[in-house]
Amino acid sequence: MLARLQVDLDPATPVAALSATRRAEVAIARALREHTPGSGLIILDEATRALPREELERFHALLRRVVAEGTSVLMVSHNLEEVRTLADRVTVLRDGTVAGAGLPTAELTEQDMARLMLGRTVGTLRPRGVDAAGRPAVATVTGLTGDGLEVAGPGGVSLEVREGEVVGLTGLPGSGFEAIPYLITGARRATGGTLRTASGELRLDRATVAQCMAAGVALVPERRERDGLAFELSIRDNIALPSVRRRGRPYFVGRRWQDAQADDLIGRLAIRTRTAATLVKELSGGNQQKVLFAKWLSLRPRLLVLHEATQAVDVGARQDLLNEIHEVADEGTGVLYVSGEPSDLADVCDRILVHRPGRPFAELRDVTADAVLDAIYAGMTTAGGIQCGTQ
Amino acid sequence: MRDSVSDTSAERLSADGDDTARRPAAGGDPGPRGPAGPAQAPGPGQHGDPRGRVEQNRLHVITSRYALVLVWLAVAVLYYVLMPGTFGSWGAVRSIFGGQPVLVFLAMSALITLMVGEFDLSIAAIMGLAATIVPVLAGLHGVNIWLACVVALAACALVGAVNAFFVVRLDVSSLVVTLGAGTLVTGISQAISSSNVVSVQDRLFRELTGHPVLGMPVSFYYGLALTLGIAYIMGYTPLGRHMLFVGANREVARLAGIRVERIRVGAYIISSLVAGMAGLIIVSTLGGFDSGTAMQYLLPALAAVFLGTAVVHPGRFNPIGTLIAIYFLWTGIFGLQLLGFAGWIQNVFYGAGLVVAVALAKIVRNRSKVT
Repeated sequence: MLARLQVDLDPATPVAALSATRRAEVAIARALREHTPGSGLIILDEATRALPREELERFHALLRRVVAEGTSVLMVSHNLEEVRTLADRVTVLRDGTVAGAGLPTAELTEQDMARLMLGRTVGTLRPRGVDAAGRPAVATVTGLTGDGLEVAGPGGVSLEVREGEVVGLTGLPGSGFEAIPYLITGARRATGGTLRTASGELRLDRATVAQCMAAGVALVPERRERDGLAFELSIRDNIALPSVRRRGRPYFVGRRWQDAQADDLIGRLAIRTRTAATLVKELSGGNQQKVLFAKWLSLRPRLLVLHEATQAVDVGARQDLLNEIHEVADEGTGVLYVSGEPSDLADVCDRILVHRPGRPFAELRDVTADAVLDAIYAGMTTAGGIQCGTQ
Repeated sequence: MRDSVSDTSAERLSADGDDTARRPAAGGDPGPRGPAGPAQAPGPGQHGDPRGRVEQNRLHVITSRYALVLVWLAVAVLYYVLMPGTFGSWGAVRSIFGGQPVLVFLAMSALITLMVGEFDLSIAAIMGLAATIVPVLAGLHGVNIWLACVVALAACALVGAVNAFFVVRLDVSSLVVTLGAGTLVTGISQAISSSNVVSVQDRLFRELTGHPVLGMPVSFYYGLALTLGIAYIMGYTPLGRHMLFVGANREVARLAGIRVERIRVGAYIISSLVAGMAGLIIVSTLGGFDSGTAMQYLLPALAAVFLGTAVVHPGRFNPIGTLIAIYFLWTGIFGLQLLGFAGWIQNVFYGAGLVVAVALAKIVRNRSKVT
């Protein structure tokens, strides 16, 4: 079966050891097992969400082969670019109603689809044009080393985020830059390095999450279901969690501030829910992500570290989130935006650091998606097989 | 309505106490779980559905949240109609509410660990250990009875700490550890008591639980105080809020700066102490204990805790719900016993209760969703 799909894999390999792309391929192979080639329908629900950009092409090629055999594919996706390039026809849903059915994608632009989805035109983010060079740093990381983070020599990674600045951090998928948000917030123990903020210096090889929080550092992790929110609890409980110790007395946590805080943030981020008592699992992905953002925003951090903050959210929510990041920065918070998504980075960041294994960061001040992609892949001289996902 | 349908995944826990199961399975499923997208974003209420429907929903939520209380009242009325003379007497009321202090303590002990996402199947044996140590020391060896109580509780806390070491530090499945520990502790109790029924006579110690207050044995109020205390801690203190998240999602709790391990260890030790207190109450009310019988207390306690997830906070382990469930189950059994059914009815009722409880909690939870 794997051979038929031209997937080059040893069938005895445990699935857990595979990359996200490989797992997706195995899932398709499984779906096709009982199925006569050239007939039937495969339904993919956000199948490409977990795939790194440069592997998307491979996966798309696989789907095209399946379609060429005569099988139909129904793909559910938030990625408008993917819908436009891969699908023949698209049906757009909005608020539980069909906003456009069976539209040929050849005649649509991503803007058109976004307009159908939202019922309004997607605004473009205004460029902030902030140059924070002269401002004081809210957080300085020096000499960071840790598991999975490839660094040059003994020096480790160093970076600095200034007041009111949005700094992007990106790199080749798997090169270890994804570990940085966890290593500098105490979520994962580093092997070395320090974090200096206004409240002093922390050794990252022994800092706890609580210490980093006390220093004004907040982390919005990538996997919201696993690491970000308790899905079985309410919006209000989730948002209040980081502040219960700070705002409640040891023997009494009031309810009123929790409700007020939740209602305030629900309004500010335009979270679509009837009450703050709604369970997080009942919300859409975009609204869940907003709750996760609200939860850490409620702490008014000095440094807000975000990892893939727009993953699997719709274009409207993405817009709201990126706008809010700008607002937060305008209020003086330093933002470290860690992502592999060039268009997000280009939209939201004032400057972007590109992690290159074995070398210091490349710093981009000209933030366009193309420039980001070029910088990410510029250092790649040895890796021949990987293709660059183009804009 | 404050938190209409929050929950801590009671029925998921009933299937697996092990934390490996709470991670999404790393299968060949690359897609995200759960719905995402603007299409599903708002509930129907956002589009101005008639106010009546919201009201109806609300009523619906209240009735499903307190359905068990209604069933309980119905059962009580039925028994009263069948046996107005006996079931309607004050003695019967006292037996229903005052007759189960041990079960209240043991159920609260189970609740404390379940709330933070742990299983402790050794609580009944720990209770038995306390109920054995006290009469052995005080009755056979002439130790001061209060000193004996302190020794017993210390021993219980030690067992809890050992459980916690294996489960939290070494990351062994809590089901396996506590099942083993329970049997081991029962064995130890049998060894110290030489498998005999041990007893102790002390008037003051008996009065400690049996003294009547407002027509009820004072131990009834201990149970009530314990229940309300846990309810207060869970609802209104930072510790309780943190415990809630440790039970709901450990990783989320950890990333919010909560010392998850400390809370888990603490839950094991406190739960064992409460189980030890249940043991003291047994000795105080019955005067003695047969160490071989400890394990038969476990199932009623678990049945009550799980049935309790169908009340007050559907789907969430909660103390008030547990207390209601205890009295509900005991009312059913007590009435049947008055009607002449023999002792076997207890096993049937509690056993069925556990299974029905878990199923019911799930149904209530699904029905009481506001949207």
